[in-house]
Amino acid sequence: MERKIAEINALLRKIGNGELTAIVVEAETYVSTGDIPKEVRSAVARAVYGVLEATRNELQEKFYAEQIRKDVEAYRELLLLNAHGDITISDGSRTATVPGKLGIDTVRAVKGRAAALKISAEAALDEEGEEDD
Amino acid sequence: MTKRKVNARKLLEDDARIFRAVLELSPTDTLEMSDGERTVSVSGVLALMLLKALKKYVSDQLDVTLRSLAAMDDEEDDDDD
Repeated sequence: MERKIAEINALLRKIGNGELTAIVVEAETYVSTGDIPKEVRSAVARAVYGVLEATRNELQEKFYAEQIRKDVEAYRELLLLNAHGDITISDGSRTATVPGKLGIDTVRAVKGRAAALKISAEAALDEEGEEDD
Repeated sequence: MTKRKVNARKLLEDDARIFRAVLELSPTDTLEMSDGERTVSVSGVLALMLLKALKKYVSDQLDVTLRSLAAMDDEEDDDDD
């Protein structure tokens, strides 16, 4: 979905720069912009821009809502971590192992933060839901 | 130094080493935490925020540990005098 949004943003930039040169329907060039007056060309560009922008905004809202849902799920998983044994933490290249009581305290600290973030994320999701109503 | 103090010092030094290892973790796109049975992977802004919270906690703990070690050093110096 991110790529789709980026593609639409690129198209919006081109149309905004006056780079609309033709309207193609089903692989046939219906109208080449050289054939029509400048004012009509501008009107068409504005119409296309408006539709694309609305599509982009809708996709962005869906994307953010999806991200928030993924984050809420991640918080839930974090809160289920068992603090009774060794905890390993990795950034992809380095790994740190925190054993025993230190692990318990470390997990508690992370869980505290995750719980606070979960509440914010769920509130944001609820707001999204209310806006759609 | 008594055996008890030697053991206490070693525990503090081990703790300091662990804390430093955690502080070496880099801000990243993906952070994994595992308790041996369950592994949770978080990505994006969440990974950054959690790592920041983790490092803040560990940094505070490292300060406490280093102060305790320094206090032990002072005690030893007093004993030597």
